[in-house]
Amino acid sequence: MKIVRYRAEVDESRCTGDKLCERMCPAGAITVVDKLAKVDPDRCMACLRCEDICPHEAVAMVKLPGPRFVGVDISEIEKMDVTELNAICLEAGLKADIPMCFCTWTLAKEATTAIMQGAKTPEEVIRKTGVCTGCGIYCVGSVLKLLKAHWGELHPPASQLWVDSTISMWDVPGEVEEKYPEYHLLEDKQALFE
Amino acid sequence: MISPAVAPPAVMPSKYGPRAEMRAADLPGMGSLAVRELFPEFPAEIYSHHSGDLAAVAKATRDTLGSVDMSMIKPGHKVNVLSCEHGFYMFGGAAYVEMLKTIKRVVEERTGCKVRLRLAMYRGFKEADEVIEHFGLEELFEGRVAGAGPWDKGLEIDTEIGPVYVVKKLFDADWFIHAYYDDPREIYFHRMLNRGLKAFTMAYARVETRSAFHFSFLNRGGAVLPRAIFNSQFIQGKHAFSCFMRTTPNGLTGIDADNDLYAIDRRITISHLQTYGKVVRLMADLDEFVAIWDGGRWGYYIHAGGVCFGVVMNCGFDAFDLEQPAALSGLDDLIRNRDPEYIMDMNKAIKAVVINQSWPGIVISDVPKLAPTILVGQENAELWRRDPANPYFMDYAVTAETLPAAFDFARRVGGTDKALAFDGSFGYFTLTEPLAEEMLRKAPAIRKKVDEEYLPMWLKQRGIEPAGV
Repeated sequence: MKIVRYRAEVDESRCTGDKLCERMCPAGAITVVDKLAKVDPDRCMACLRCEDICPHEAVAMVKLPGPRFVGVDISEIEKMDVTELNAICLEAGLKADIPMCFCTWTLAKEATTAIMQGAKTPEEVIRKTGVCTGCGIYCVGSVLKLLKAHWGELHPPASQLWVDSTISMWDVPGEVEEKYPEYHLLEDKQALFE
Repeated sequence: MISPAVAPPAVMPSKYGPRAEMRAADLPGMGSLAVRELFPEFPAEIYSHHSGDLAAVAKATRDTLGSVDMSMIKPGHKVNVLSCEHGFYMFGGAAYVEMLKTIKRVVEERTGCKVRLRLAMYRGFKEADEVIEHFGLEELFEGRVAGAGPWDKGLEIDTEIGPVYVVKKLFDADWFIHAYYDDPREIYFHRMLNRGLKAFTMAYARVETRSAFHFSFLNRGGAVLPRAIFNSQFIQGKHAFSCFMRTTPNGLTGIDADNDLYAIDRRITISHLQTYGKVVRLMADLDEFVAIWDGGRWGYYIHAGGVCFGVVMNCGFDAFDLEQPAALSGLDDLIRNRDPEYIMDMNKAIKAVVINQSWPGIVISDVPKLAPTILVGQENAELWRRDPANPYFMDYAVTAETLPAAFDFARRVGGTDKALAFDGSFGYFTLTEPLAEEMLRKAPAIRKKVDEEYLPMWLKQRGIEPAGV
């Protein structure tokens, strides 16, 4: 569950419309119209990337009157076909009950539910779950794997906000596992899913 | 027993971290214990923040580069020196800059090409700019300097385990020089398996590939990723040579350059198991102490006696033992309930944590849940309050107005007078007398156990015959 306590606000007198913030926003909360960045407050996850990247100091965080929680409710998860949900997780090399984001502690089944409900891009999963809006580093691969497991293929944006890259231990060929026994790859795989 | 506290490395000002009004070394009761008093057998440093001369670093760099083949580099070629974030923090950063500067001079002298510097940083978009300005890198590299981060444009390359994405800007040259450092941060992740190659994933690759290292492999297996990237045709076709700052817990012990990165990596592995292995096992044997994060960047990566806090926090299991499967990754919950030996846990000797100066921005939310955590100053607290990587951190941590107040409180709630400052020190521990006494008392037994039991096992597990070391 993501807790949002701030939102981004643009100082129009400083904004040049360079679109750096728009490209970097993981939630698709920023659009530049007539050379001015506009923030959708309902989508903003206060990840600070827009504030950090802006060379003109045109973005600042303002505190919300109260926290906003972003996540998939357990009742929504319970409406899903459990067999299908588990199959998507397994195809992605995950299990439904594991946390896939340490910043928000979002479970794989939350992101999978968002995808089964129609989310087709990381931005749409992010807006429903809040993943990828903390450190932004660790969980994006799992989101991509889940999306690919359900939809079959990914269509990354030309901006390369994210790219189609889903490598994991399950992709390591058997001969490579044998070539590097010190990495214990086979043993780890067996431990995870035996 | 302890000597007056040695001043730690200065902290580079940054928008990502607070100022430090006072350092832990200035607290009453804090002093220094030299690493060589515990382990006199470790090689001596040629440089540390408190000793030595940068001229020795330049000389060591020039000397080791003398045996490196640079004949593949022609006068018109573009050559990128790849540097990484933590080098600009270790020893205050000056030694790393000296090594980079000397690499540039020597390569240009010998090949006639113009060398460019690339800085691979963690995630802040201004991190590189701050480092470039602080160390005057624009001038040193005649304007041929650029920073890079995990969201920069990627380039897909083929590897023996499948396609991955590296950061394009880092490899936009005919050749690159891997200019790195060897301190064993994150041994709980890389397990001293190809430490020298780790940057090929966690610094030179796109965010999606870095994510895979942490969440799509367990610890030992993750090492296959940087190895696959380094072994790829693309990287092999551009790798000129590698040049490392070599360390022991005493400090910078030399510069090591080679066309064969695996040769450097093997030397690092042997040295680290012999030296850091002892300090880490000593840390694991401590009864109790208050930890102080006192100057640097992210708390996990701030050194005390050459060992990072993260390594001390996660040393409850022997990360050097490759038969030990303990894991810290997004996958560990798969096995959490079935096989407890797979799961890492916070070092129970840490009774409280004082955060005097460090950067937020990396997931470290377990710390205040597992040990009383006290931040110094409102500026510091506000940075953590806004931190999206640790959204609940300030729901568990408390704030004190001054470092002495935080330190007093931490000792009371922690129930101990033993304290250790992670202040960037190599060669010394900044600590209180009771902790120094415990470390001195326990070091001989640790040395014996490591030399006679652990070290032969660790080496054999990595295909190295102990008798040949």
